[in-house]
Amino acid sequence: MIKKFVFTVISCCLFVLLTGSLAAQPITIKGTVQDKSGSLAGVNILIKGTNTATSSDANGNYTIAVPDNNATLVFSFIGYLTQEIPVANQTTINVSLEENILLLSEIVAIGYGTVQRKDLTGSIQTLSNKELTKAMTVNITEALNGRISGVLVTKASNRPGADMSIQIRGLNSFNYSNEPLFVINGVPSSSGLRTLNPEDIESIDVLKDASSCAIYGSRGSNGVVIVTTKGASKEEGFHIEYSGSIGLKTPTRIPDMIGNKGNGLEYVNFRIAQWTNKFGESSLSTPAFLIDDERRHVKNGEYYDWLREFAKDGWVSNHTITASGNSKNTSYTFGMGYMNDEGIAGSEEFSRTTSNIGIEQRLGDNIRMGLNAYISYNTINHGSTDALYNAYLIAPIVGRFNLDGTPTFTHRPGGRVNPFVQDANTKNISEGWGINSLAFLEYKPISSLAIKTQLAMQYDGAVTGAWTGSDTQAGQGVTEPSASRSEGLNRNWVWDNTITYDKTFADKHKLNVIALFSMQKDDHQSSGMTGEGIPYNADWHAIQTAEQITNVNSNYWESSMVSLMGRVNYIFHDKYLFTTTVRYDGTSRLSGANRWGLLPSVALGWQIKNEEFMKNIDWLSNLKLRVSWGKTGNNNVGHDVTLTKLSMSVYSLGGNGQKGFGTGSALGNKDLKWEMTSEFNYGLDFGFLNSRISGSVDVYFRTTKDLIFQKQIAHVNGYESVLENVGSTSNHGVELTINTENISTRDFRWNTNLTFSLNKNKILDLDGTKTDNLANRWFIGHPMQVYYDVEQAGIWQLNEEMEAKAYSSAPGWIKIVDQDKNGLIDANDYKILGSPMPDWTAGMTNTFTYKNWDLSVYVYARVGGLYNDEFMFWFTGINNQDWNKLDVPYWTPENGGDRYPGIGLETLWTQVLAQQKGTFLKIQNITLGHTFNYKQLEKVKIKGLRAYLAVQNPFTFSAYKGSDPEIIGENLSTQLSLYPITFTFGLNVKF
Amino acid sequence: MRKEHLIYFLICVPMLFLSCGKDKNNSLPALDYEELFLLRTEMVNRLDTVVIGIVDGTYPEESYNALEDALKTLDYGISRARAGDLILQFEVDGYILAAKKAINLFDDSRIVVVTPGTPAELFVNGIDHRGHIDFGSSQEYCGGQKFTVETWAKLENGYIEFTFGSFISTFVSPLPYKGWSLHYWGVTGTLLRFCIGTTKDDYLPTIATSAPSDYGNWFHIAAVSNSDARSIELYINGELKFSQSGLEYDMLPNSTDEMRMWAFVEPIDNSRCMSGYMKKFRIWNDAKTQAEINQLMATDVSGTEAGLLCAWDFTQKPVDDEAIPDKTGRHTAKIVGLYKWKALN
Repeated sequence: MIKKFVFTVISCCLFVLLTGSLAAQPITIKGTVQDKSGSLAGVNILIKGTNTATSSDANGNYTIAVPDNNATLVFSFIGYLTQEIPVANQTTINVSLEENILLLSEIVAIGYGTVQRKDLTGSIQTLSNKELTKAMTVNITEALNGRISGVLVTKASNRPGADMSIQIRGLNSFNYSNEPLFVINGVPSSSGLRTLNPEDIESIDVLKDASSCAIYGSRGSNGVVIVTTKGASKEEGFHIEYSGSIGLKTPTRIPDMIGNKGNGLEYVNFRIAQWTNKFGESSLSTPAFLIDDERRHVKNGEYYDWLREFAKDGWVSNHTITASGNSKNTSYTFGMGYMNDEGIAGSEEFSRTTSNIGIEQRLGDNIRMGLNAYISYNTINHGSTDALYNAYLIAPIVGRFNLDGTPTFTHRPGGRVNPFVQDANTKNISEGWGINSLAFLEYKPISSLAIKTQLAMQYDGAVTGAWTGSDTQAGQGVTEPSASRSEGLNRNWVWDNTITYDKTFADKHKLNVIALFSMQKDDHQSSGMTGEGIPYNADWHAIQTAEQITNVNSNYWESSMVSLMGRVNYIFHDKYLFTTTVRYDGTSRLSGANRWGLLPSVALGWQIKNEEFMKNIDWLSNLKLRVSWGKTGNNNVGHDVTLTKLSMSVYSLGGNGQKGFGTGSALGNKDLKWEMTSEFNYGLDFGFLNSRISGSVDVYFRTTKDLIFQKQIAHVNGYESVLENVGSTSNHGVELTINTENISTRDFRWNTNLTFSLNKNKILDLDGTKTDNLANRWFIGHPMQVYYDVEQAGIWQLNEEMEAKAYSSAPGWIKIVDQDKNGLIDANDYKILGSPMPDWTAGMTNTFTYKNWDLSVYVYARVGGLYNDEFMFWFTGINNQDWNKLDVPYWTPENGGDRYPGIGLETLWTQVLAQQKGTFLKIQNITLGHTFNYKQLEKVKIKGLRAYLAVQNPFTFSAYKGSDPEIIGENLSTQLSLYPITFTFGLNVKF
Repeated sequence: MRKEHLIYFLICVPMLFLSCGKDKNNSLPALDYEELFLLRTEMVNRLDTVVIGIVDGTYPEESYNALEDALKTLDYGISRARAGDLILQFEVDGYILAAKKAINLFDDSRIVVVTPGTPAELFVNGIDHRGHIDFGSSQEYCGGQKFTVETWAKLENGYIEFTFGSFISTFVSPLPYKGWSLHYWGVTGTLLRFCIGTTKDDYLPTIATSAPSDYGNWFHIAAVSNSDARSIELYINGELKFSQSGLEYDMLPNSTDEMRMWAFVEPIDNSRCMSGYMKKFRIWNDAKTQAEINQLMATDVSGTEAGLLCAWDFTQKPVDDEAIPDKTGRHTAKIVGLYKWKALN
């Protein structure tokens, strides 16, 4: 039975693949392809409806055999408008391709539909597959940084598979998510973008303003990221494409610890100074100062650079194969991808296997049906959180092995564990999977009316297991191993039903109307347990054998939503654009009348350039004004925020623990509403000099109200707090995108793309009284995240000894600004020093093309921001006598340094060492590629071939002394990582 | 040909530049141990000329023995130095430091007899936990919900050799912290700190101020704990130096643990030690105000004052150093180990 089924499936697939390959009596057609500058090489010439194609040679000439005079040739080339020319008894067809300079025909996803960019009224930016794959990022989230204005991606670390967060136009909510809504193939997704293979993405559209996001109503207030995977092929014929790359990752900007690179005596001098200043000179005579093994290393000059020894090179490999085809009635894409990203510290690793299927079948002109499925499976080996940390801390006068060849365990009695041992005795692995699938049926009773129903299901989950052996920092060689296992599953069903009416009347009235009825249900379950005292190493698969089982938990929750939506797009004379959207959402997360919310938006556009009075201004090729307003919500609040919950406690009764339930401390509030955002957006799209300079600028003003806060209440009926809609925040900013064609000759081109983003965030109110909340560092009129601390004035110098004493300090200690000049450093001397948000960010891509060679350079800059950096605090501020420190200019009487305190001094206020400026500039990617021409490839029956060399993170300019300024503030205990530079060789082959 | 040379040169120059990284000068420096011989001579001279006895001008026999032991240690260091067993200068310096310390200790041990009742100052050398004042144990030493510790002290250069020098403590460590501690912290830029154990195991509120460094002069210290107001304060010479309010947990007032109170060495962790002088010492079961503290600085107590939990005046040589009664009549202190009464005349 199974065999029969498999045979049927294979037969069907083969049939589908072969339907486009029929041929008849050939007629030879010749010709030349050119543009306004001259002949064009590499133009794809395809016989429409077949998979027969050729390319123009270096002189723009081509020859192709067509089956008969009814054939049509399709001429296509990147950056040019595609032309279709019927053969119609011609034997010579010369073609002049027109440049698609304005890219006005670019299609933009706007949610439940698409629109041409020229007709867009909102603020939406698109990243194409080409740009995504060029970015060379394992996680496509990172590719948005600097390439889409208004988007700020924050990496948790540089570990393989690390999480990233996205903010679009700043922070809105204090207590709930600020992440945008991810919509993958029309299905809202909770698994983010990490599971997706960049090669499978057709495009990413980022909806930024409220009028665009209002289409997603109560989920749109943080912006929307619409991901479209390669669905049914739109290209005629059958193609197989392979994209693959292999890259070598090696650590760069490794922070300098004292005495590394073999300069061990530097460390010995440091330890002498540290112990002398901390414990007194006599402490040097104690056996603890230099244990026997350390002394042996010093005597023999054997120094070990722990950080560089523990760091390693890793390989990143990526392979994707895609088969796609398109015939009169059937279009399809099948893709498989595999990616493996080895870490550069310990056993860290990330691998991902993906599968992408898209099929569309057309039954005549009226019915269309299709299926999309995206399946992803990934594993992340998190390695040991302590191993790299220990490599930083262990002194260079300790070796990796004892004299008898066994590995050293701790570097000092009770000290840090050898990172190699730590890594070998720790396992921490997550296995995750995600399935996004949908099926749709569309019926067009008339050409302008489409009725579509689509059922989609998203299912993702992850199992994380951890095993910690005895020979680890936690176990100290004594404690029995422990293991834990946790899992989470998310399921999301969405049923969308749309009616779309699209018609142009009298060549000047374009009307597009869509109505939606949608239902969604999502459920979530999780469980976990920990076993302590595991008798043997079975990872986390035999927790029942543990001496003690703790943290046993299981959870489930669900929510649902019903939506009605309508949108009207109207364009008059290609000059005046009007869009209005109304969405009416009802959610189970709120109660009563507050469940339902109306979220309207309206947008106007004016194609000024199309006005008669502008038509004669030749230097101006495009000018469009956009104004929009919209209201969106954030229903990403807890599923139970309106409920008063019981809490469980364990009571001791009769010597036994008995579980009991009582009222919790928080009172439910059935009057809670969504956190609501309203936004005005003003945009201008422009193009000058035949669009050699083009771009857009957007200014926005966003206000979020009804933010949910936990408000303390009088101790009535045993409750301490209640959630209320009381806070409000605002964001306003400027976004700029400029594309320029700096040089354009027949053989050489130089294009530049620049994005700039600036956002100002402010708290307007917290509790209805516009009062600051000092405990949470929330201040009215300031950003939601501020750095509130004492301010470093420098380091006390020798000639300031008496003044220092008055402040309970001494020379070499950290000097703090006495803001109120009362002679004491206390709570009154704290002030807002900055915000851990950049003042502005910018990204710039320069692409140079010379004949078949292309070179692109991507630069990303983040300017401003003050961050609380655990790394710098820990490795410069902690005065632990056994640990190594970062090699920075610590104060000495001679150098009079004014940033880092003297070695070994028990200075106060070391927290100021965590204050780090976040400015940096990175040349993040340089790619050199070569596209082989037709003549070179036709001998080996290849339709296209591009080979490239790329380097990621080749140059970073920053005053930050940690490894990567982009992950400044990373969590030391869970995320500490090294910064890789990656050299990649890749191929794109089309058969 | 010349062109090729130029190319090679241009390639080599940056390579040479890049190859010049940080110097790896890891050869061990030469050691200077001449001072060991000088100190040896000083020790030998003292041992050769010392008069051992129990009267004024003589030296106790144990001091002679201690110096003799120190000489043996120094000789061992010299042997190691000569044999090339010492690798870094700090090791040589360690022997030098130990020898100097032994010589100073020996010199200080010269006997000066002070008769009971003679006005005198008490110096206790707690370094290396050689001497301390043991006030015994009493729940009263814990103070209670509110208390004030008040004392006069005098320091000399080198009074602390290790990070933590306990001046007076009822402190029980490690976790859970109980009692209180008035101590010096750090050998450079030393702080005077006051901390209290609380009902939360790992919550140890600590306040600090720069330790007075005008060596040889008496100064007044007052530490105030007020659990009702959830605050602690530290005064020097009647001036508020540091305070902390809003403490999250109460002071742990009493404990079933033995609340032994020592001065100059911490009762439990003996490595927390120091040397110095103590003149007057009192504990009150009240949170004294700044005005009251200024008044107490200029006042003697009789022992019957309300709220006075204990009070000692180390201002004259007692009859018995091992049983010094306090003014309330409820407690007895003893001086242990290395100490010296220095007659004021």
